[in-house]
Amino acid sequence: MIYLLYGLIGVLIGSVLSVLPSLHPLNFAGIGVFIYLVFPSDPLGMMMIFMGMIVAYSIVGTVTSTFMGAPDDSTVYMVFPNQKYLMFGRGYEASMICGIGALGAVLILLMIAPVSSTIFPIFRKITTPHYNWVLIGCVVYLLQSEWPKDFGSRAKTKLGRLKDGWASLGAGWFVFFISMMLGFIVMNTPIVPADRAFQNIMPVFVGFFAVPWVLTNMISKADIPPQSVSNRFFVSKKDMLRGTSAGFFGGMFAAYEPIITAGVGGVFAGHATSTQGDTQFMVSGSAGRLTYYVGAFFLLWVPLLHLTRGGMAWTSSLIYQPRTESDFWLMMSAIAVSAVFAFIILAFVARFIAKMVAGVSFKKISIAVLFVVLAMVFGFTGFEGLVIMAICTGIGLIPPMFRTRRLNMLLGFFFPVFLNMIGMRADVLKVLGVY
Amino acid sequence: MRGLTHFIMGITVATFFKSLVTGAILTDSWLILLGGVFGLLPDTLDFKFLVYVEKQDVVIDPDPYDVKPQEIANKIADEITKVGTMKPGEMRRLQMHTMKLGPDLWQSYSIYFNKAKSQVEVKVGPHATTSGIPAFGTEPPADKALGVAKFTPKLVDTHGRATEVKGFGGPSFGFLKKKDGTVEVVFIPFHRRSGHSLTMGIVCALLGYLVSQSWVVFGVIIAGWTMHIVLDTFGHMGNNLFWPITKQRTSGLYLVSASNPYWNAFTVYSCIAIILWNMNLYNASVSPAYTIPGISALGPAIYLFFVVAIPWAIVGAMYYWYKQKTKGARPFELFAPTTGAVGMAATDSAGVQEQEHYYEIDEKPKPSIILRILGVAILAAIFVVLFIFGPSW
Repeated sequence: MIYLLYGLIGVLIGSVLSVLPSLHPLNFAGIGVFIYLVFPSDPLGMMMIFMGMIVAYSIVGTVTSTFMGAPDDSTVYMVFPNQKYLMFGRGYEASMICGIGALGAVLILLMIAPVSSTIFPIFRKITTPHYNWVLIGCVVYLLQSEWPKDFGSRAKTKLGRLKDGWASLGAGWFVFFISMMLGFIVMNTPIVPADRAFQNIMPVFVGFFAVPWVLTNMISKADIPPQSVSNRFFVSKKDMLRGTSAGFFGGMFAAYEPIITAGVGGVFAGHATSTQGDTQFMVSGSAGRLTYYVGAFFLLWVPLLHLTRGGMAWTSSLIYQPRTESDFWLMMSAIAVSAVFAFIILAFVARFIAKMVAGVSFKKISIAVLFVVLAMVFGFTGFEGLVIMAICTGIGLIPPMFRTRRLNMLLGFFFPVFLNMIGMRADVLKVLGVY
Repeated sequence: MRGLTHFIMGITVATFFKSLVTGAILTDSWLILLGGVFGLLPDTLDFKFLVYVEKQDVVIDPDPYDVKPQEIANKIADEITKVGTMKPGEMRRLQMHTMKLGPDLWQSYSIYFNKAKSQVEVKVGPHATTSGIPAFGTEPPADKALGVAKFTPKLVDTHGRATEVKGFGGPSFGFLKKKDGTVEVVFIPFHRRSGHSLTMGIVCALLGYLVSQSWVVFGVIIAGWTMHIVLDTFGHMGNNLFWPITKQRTSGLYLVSASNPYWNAFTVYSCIAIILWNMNLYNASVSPAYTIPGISALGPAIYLFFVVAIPWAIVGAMYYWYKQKTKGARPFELFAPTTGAVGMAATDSAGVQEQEHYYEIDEKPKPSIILRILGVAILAAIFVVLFIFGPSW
């Protein structure tokens, strides 16, 4: 019982941190270790706190993308419909639909828990020697499968039309390439101060996703309309079922495969199940996000598997290594209780923010969010982090301008890791002169 | 089918090649991905190249704030009449454009070729989001909603239904003069022609062979490409299988719908199950640490029965039941986003909204039941060959 309480404490801490735009689970992991070092306690209890934090981030954290327009790599997938709802006075509803999607994912996680110790080890045994080509295959597919977004070129010549069509595709490939170059540099040269090196990816994600979105929102002259806080949510069972299952499988694929993120997994799941419509995107996005973060943590606890995936699992595994089946079931119980608790907190937080932001200029909110983001990046990574963030912001502005996929930034940035896995990193670094 | 379905199907057939799978483990070879790349290439060719180099004889680009359906109908009818006077085999192409009202808002309209009355009917509909959800109440007044224009030649319309024009790029129509004096309406004439022919697949595979000097590369390219053609043929719109020998696109087998979520998810899942089967089978020749002999011992038929057939029969039954139950239910959707980043992201959304599913229509005539059974038999035969001979490739 005490461990469940630890989980709820984690949810409270995570909820407070989640409403701060730009914070990422990697920061959470760092903060978690800090808490453990300052207030040493029972390692298993500490794990429950970590779990609570990550559950809260996955559920309560959707408010930052809905009300503040500051997405990260996992919420950029659903920030579009969420903000659309916000501008129709239904921001609270959007947050709650996301929360319901996340709860749906927890339900599926609980349903597969009894067979997870049978299925996942088999899956791991068979797929382990194939990670490399599967990862490269994901990159190849995402680059090949983007379709032109010229909306019917009006150019008179064939060449002109071809040029129009390839403007967005070319920009997408350019974004991939330039992000890859950045990845080589950031991951191989000590830019961020050594004592904060574990946060070196934070300014990249903030620059790629949050800041461009906030900057683009700043040109908006809209005021946020009065928000309805009615508890009637217009989401069909079909959207719930399709969104949750697609999100879960996408999120679990991302959680299981190294390097793949929730956004990438979400695109795969969306394509596989022909996800359509705003509500399905919201449900699927939030289910995928929770499965990605909590699922990665869950994999560490599955008996006979003990797969370490994701920043939180890596960091927490330094403190405690789950050993027994009772550890696993304790964790599953804590996940279930924490998710419900986080959902209740989400309802209160979303209701509170919905009332607070009504009538406020979106521009003012965006400016405030930008200041918070800058302060957070500076606080976590120093001046050097701000420089990285600024560079990434420049890259992050290309996709909205050319209507190309934002995910190309992530794919490019992590591509050096792919190359590392197949032993080509050193060769490429020598060519680039980084090594 | 969706792009991912084609890609993963290509990967699936590639994993039957033992040398590719073991090569991927032992030498980090990426050749296995050729199956996926060439499995998706036919659509890549069509929608990234051929769509742009298609000749446009007439372009209709209506003003979204002052739509004149009668003018549109007149232009289309004039084209059909003009083609009626041309030589057999000649075609004129007409490009329709969409009407953008905002970042995620479009003015919808539809074109219907009414063969019985020899007239083109253009109807202006409500505003719609990029994902095609209509904004009820935005329909135009009756006097601005319909345009009708007569044409003289006898028309053959293989589609038979109104074509909706909403978001993204608009469709194109070809009007082809036939030997019997009729004019055939060819929907998006650039699609599923040379880029979706088996001959083009052979050309690509031969190029692959010339570059690699490997028959395995030839095999994996042709297998990936062929599976794309086979899957597309299962839909409502067929392919021009032996271009340039054959000139026309055939109708599909009407077995599945390209955008149907159930069939896409089923195909992707089945492909993953087969990939895992092949991985497990071929891993054994690399290291016993990566294989579970008990699974291979089941044999592919029993494995697929338990892993694919049973779960998907259950999902299929549930899907059918729910589809019947919710038939005609209106979606809970919102319209027209506002300004700022939301507007700019309307058609991005991490690449989740694609237009490819738009490009399938019901082409007639519907093939006979024998042809349709033959289609399934061919697919089954391909997999039987792959299961039997794959381990020796």
